[in-house]
Amino acid sequence: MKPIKSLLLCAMFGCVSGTAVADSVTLQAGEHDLRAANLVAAPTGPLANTSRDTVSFDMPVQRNHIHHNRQLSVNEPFVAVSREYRTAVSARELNEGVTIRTTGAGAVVALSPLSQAKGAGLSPLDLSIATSEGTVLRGADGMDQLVDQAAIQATGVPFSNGMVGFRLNRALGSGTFVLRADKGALAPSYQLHVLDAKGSAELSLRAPEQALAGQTFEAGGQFVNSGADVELKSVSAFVLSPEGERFKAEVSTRGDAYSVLARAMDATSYDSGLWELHVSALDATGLQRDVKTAFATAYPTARLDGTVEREGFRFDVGVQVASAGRYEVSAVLYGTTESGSVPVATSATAQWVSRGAGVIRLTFNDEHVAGSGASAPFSLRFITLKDQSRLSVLERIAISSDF
Amino acid sequence: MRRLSFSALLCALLFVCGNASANTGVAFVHGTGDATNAAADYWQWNNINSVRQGLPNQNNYTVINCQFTQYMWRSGAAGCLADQLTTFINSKNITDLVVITHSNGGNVMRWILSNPTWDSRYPNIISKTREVYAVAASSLGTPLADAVTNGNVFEISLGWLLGYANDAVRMQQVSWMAYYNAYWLSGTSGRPALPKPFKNIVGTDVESAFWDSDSYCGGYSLNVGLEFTQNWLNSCSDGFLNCSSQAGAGSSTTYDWSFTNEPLSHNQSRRKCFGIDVLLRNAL
Repeated sequence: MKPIKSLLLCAMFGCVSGTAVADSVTLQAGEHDLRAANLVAAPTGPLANTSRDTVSFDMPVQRNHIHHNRQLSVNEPFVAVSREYRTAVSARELNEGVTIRTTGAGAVVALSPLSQAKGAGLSPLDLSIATSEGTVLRGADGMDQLVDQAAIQATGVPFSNGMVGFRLNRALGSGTFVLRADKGALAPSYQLHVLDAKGSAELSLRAPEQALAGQTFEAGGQFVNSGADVELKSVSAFVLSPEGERFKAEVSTRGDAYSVLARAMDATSYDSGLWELHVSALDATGLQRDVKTAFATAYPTARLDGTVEREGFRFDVGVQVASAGRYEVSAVLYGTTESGSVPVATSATAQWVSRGAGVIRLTFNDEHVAGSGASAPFSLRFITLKDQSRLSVLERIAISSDF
Repeated sequence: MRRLSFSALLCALLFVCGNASANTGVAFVHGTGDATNAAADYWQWNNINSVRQGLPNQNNYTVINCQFTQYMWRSGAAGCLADQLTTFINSKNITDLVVITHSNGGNVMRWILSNPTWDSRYPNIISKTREVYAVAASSLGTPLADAVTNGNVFEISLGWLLGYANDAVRMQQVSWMAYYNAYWLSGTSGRPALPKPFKNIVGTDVESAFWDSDSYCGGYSLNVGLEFTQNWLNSCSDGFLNCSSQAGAGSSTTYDWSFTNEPLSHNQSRRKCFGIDVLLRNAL
């Protein structure tokens, strides 16, 4: 740094925080922190990132770039809610009539052949709907938004080959309907997909966003129907691996609620996507809902060892590593202004760390700090340790001590 | 006083010189899919040619062609995007980069902005980027991705047949994006800010009335299907994405109704429809 800039910084900070006095910063335990417990060596498998380059990045926080100008926070875990279900129907069932139960007007129905045979798709004009009074309706009398395979494929939405769909005429309201293929189904079987978008019945599912590989975790949810008493008749669940393998999960029910005990299986690749938990529930009246949610599995391959040596705005963060890999430490520097504590700058460094103890250095540019107008007390927030090799967020600590 | 005037003059000169020395370029980043000719197939040339009129040097543009069927972090997605942006920056000596993304292209670009240490090429791209115009970005995913990624009793044996489109579609399921936004991507509510402005342009509806000639922009048949897909979405959507998803990350949001009387469907917002090309041109 040029002397004139140093003088300017000293003038702005009183040479309190910009001086090269080494001290330690304490990472403080917070309620929503993510912490790795006992370290484990992860099984070998294809890694998502094998780069040996050390890459650092720091930048000032432009506070008007923060979405909705909100302060950093830990988001509430995602809760999946579904008003749809799928079921397989044979050609014979479809020819004789398949019952559809809805709880809202204008349910959407899609039929996809479970066969690759060309021409196995139906024409929506060959379908009829019968009401619970036995009135048979065709075309616009019973359905609108009829779409054939060509219209669906033109959207670019990758629905399955041969899918046709329609929306039940909203004037028909909700209730029980019978769907029939008047001219006979062309494939041996079809998937029937019903979206009861305006319906009152819905199934929820909440699961951990990250689960430790090889360990069991709990999830659960509720089947609700507009305040009506719901009695679950049957619930099934399975875990779906990123590679498409299914693993059965244990389910227990109580009234309208259910809980799932599932196991996060060992990974075979670290370059894949997320795992999914799928639940299908049927209530005593025959209403079906399917719901799913995604979660990550992680091996606690490293953790912050708690030591953070500070020299000015340079921080040497200690890590313990059980499996060699590319690890990133990042943090947001907060400072103090007249309006309180504000984000000043972010910094991150990723590097390859061998098994054992290591140090990852975070540096915040003095000029970024000076330009923010903030002064001491400073703190680090959102101190995060990631395993970039295995796509795992290992630790996230809300805040450090002031300095 | 004389000194102040001199300083002011110097600053003014520096400002002018600074602007004059900036070499602005624009990159068009497509959405989900493996692109080999995104200029013709995805954006369409009349749209690109209209937008790049806003450049001081109209040759300073690039149209990205990558494998956005892959997960966003993979070499065929963010790696390919980084590669092509770096080549563009270096070959044209770009110092002021505007990135225009569409749909899932916004997620891939946001991966680069959110994970600057992932790849040694990322910091230079970020430093050269002035801002990102994220047109119809799928920042919070879409229920349609859930709808087509069945995951139920069928897809293990019939994944090739039913719904398992590609990894990028899987990734845009709502619960997946909730995870990635919470742990790997910046710019959503409560998360660290992105290093550069990420400006959303949001399409709010789909029109497919055969008597309305505006429905034809981008292709009438596309919009007929989009009205059907809209059943999975909220009342404010572009037929692919809820408005909340399109506005789910970044620093500012422009809705279609603020610059046109016609709603922009998902397929219209990547074409020369209803003045979005002029909006983007003026942003350069």
